[in-house]
Amino acid sequence: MKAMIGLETHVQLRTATKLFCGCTTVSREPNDNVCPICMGYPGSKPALNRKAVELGTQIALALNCRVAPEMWFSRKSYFYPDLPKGFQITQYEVPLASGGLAEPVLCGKKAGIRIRRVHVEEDPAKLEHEGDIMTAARSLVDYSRSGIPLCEIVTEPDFESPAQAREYLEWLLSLLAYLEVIDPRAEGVMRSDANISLDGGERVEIKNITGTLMVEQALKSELNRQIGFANLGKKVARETRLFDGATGRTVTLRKKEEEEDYGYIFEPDLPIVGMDAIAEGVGKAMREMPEVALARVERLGVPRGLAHAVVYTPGMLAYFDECSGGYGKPDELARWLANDFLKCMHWNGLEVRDSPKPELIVELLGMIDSGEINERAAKDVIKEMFAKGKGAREVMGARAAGKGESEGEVISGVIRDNGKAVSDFKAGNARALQFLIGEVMKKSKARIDPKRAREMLVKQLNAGPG
Amino acid sequence: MSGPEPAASFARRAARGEVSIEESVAKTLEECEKTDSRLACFNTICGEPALSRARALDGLAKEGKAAGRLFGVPVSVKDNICTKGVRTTAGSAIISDYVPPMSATAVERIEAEGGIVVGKTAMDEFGFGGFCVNVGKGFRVPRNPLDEKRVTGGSSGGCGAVTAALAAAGIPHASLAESTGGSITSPACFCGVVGITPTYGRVSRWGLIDFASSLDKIGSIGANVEDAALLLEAAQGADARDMTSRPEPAGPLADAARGLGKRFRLGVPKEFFEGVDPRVSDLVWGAVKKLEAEGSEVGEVSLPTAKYAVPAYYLIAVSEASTNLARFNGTRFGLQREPEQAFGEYFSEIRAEGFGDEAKRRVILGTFARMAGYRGKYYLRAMKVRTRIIAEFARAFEKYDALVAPSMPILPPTFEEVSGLAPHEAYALDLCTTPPNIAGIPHASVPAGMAGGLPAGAQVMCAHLQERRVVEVASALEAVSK
Amino acid sequence: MEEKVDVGKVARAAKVRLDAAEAARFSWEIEGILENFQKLGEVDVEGIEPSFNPLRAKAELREDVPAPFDFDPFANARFVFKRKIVGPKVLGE
Repeated sequence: MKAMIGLETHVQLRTATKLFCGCTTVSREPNDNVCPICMGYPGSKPALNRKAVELGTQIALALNCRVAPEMWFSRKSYFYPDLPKGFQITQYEVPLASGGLAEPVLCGKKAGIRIRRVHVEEDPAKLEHEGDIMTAARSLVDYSRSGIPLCEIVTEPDFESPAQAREYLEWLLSLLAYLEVIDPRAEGVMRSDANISLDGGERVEIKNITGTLMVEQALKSELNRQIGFANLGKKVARETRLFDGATGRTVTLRKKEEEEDYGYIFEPDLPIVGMDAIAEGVGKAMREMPEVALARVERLGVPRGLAHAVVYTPGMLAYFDECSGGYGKPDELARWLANDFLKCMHWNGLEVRDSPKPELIVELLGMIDSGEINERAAKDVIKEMFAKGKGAREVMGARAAGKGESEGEVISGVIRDNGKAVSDFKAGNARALQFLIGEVMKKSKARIDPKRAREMLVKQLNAGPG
Repeated sequence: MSGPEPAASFARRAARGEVSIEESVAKTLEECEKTDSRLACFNTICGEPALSRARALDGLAKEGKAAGRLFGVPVSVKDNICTKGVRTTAGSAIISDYVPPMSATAVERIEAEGGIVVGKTAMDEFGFGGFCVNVGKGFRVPRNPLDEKRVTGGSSGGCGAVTAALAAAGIPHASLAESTGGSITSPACFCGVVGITPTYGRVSRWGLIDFASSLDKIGSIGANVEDAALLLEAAQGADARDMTSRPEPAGPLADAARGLGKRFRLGVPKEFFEGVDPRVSDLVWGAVKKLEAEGSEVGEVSLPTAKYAVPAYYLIAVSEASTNLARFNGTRFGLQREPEQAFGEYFSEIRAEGFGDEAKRRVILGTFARMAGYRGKYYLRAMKVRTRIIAEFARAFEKYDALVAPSMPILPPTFEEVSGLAPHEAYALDLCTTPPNIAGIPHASVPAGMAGGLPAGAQVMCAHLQERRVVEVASALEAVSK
Repeated sequence: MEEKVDVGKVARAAKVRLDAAEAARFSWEIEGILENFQKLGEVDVEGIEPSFNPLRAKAELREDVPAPFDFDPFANARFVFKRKIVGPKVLGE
């Protein structure tokens, strides 16, 4: 029996402000980034965010869609406590883009997944229930999420298995992260509705599944239910279901005849948006697709695993390309970037764009090649380059000035010379560590910062004998 | 009617410090209170805020820092146009205590020109009416200052009544009104004053409580064409907060009311005279003939689709209105109760309690007109008919500078006459006002003379963005009708 | 031509509770209105595009720059709990 699976995936676009108002997309406490527009106050009107349209266009082009010459917004009307205006501004008749094709490798085989449409829309507010949804006496509404820009990507029912659907979502997530159109760390960055039917049977939709893995679980469970029906000769009813992660089952949400009539109308507060100039601008600025970049980096002699890290770490491909201009060993460069560089970056909570400049890394690698510094020392130097934002030579120079002692030598010296404090520390006296840090600072003339000193001391003390 | 001093000249004198704005505003407020007790034309009178603003403006005038086209001019504002910190109700019980956190762009611009908001005027609930008898629960029905047994016209009924009453008392004043399908023309006509409805988008709708977003237009009502033009001139212009506002430069208008003696090519659309009270037709034709005698060219023109404007207008209006009113659900603002039922029940109860009859009728009709299975036949078809009406107007304006027709097909009716009308009979009386409104073209209503002591109005319609031409023709009509 | 309208059903979708008398009156009135609106069917709209706005506007999109709105989001709200707006429950009667 052949399954036909389609996905409607919502991702949160990476913008500074909401889709229709100047409120920020970050919130620290309930209702702290709201305004009359996203709270649906009478008299307010939407003002469409250019960036959201551009990011949506970027997604559409990456999925080989045809961008509409003109797009409109529509009002999708329904009542729910999280919907401030009583309608959602979305796209209905004329979406941003349609007729695309995605060609990821799914389950080891290059697939052709047709993309039906790509559109942008606003998120409703966040709804909480006092206690449990089943027994709550009232709901509590936080409008901080209301108006967050979403992009919906709808496929044709081209997946044949739940595993394919999951792998597609994983591929999509990394593609969108690579394009930097989403923030992969954002809460609930990806939500999907999945539809599935068996051999021309009725279509069942499973609403609002978070992430990628859960989609596979929900589809597997629903597929089994439908196969069970088929084996008993029963007909599957057309309906909308919900996946309960706890029981691993789908349950009926509403039957076909209970489907809501959304009474779509054109959004009269927004003009028709001409897309030609936007699509052209986005198209020109469009980066090479990750698969193409991966192949290119591999052709330079970089092993696949390293190339993958270089391509899919946000911002790293451009960084790699810039370094390659001044350094002739791409494989060596990739090895450093994918390992020590990445580690230091994460350790310091940085992104590629606020890491040491490419020329400084090129300088460090050059110093290794010329034998000016050995690889082990270089690993320490790069750490300091990140911590202090300095170049390798500067770091080395500062060290040479410190009686020629390396960090490690200073630490070992302090441990050797302060036996009492060391045993106090080992006996559990935390203040002894403070004393030792002070000694390190003194001896290194404060070249080693206290945080670093603490780290190294603890490491050495715990590693040491006794 | 000799009328009060023109607002523009009052503003110039006030800016030179020749009048005490505080005294003038105090006198205006007193007259507003008096008028309101007689005519019920205000939902809110802004006593203290208006006085303190008047004192501040007097201070500016003393320091020689006074500026603004409306300096010290009292302005009343229809109650569906938001005023920051001042209750704004749209005439509905569902938001009878709503205090907006922002002012409408139009109000901000009027205040920036020195205008002083003295009150919020009575209206049909959310603009749902042509006579101002469909006020929300707990609101008073305004009365026509010319004859208290008669309606003011609507939905900007309070604007029309206040303008006529203050003019009769010799007080300079203008009123910020709003039209969706005739809500400026109708009260201007029935109260014997001037109303100008600009091109759709000419005045920003930011801060306007929506009735039907693709039809709503903020405009002005004044004792004469010049006052109405001046207020519109101050309020108009592009605004990033309303993406449907027009980007084209919005030039001066009030001065166009003073350059008389121009000759025009005037078209008279015959469909606008079908079923019109002959006393009204005669007065409008009389005015047109006088302009012809002064050298204008006059020709008859046919707009065959105009007679479908009423159903097309209503279907678009109620479809959009039924979505615009979905935000009123008994949370965040307005009428609220401790929500004990599930949301469907709670919303249905609070909306039943807060909406008046006409609001319920239009919300239900609008929900129906956009339902699957009916949407194509009603909502979408109406939008296509609109395309045809716009095209017919455009063709007429290739040949004519302006079209002139009756404003309302009848003289101001009594409350008793209106109460006997079924909804579809009331809607049918919008036959002259729905065509320019559905097409979004600028138009004005000016008094065309009296019949049996009651005013008739002539409506001037021009091509999109031709507000200046509207003012020129309206002034010419005003001059010959005096 | 007549258009039969299930006013009860539409009112439920529109979230306006009607009592029996209101439902009967509105049915009669709305059917009267729609009967008059049937003449819209006489207009030839073959090949005509709908005008969603009376004029075409070139959309000037908003730049993605934060512009916080300074106001008290609870000033008009009667029921607030821990900075959240209280609304009706989602399930149950």
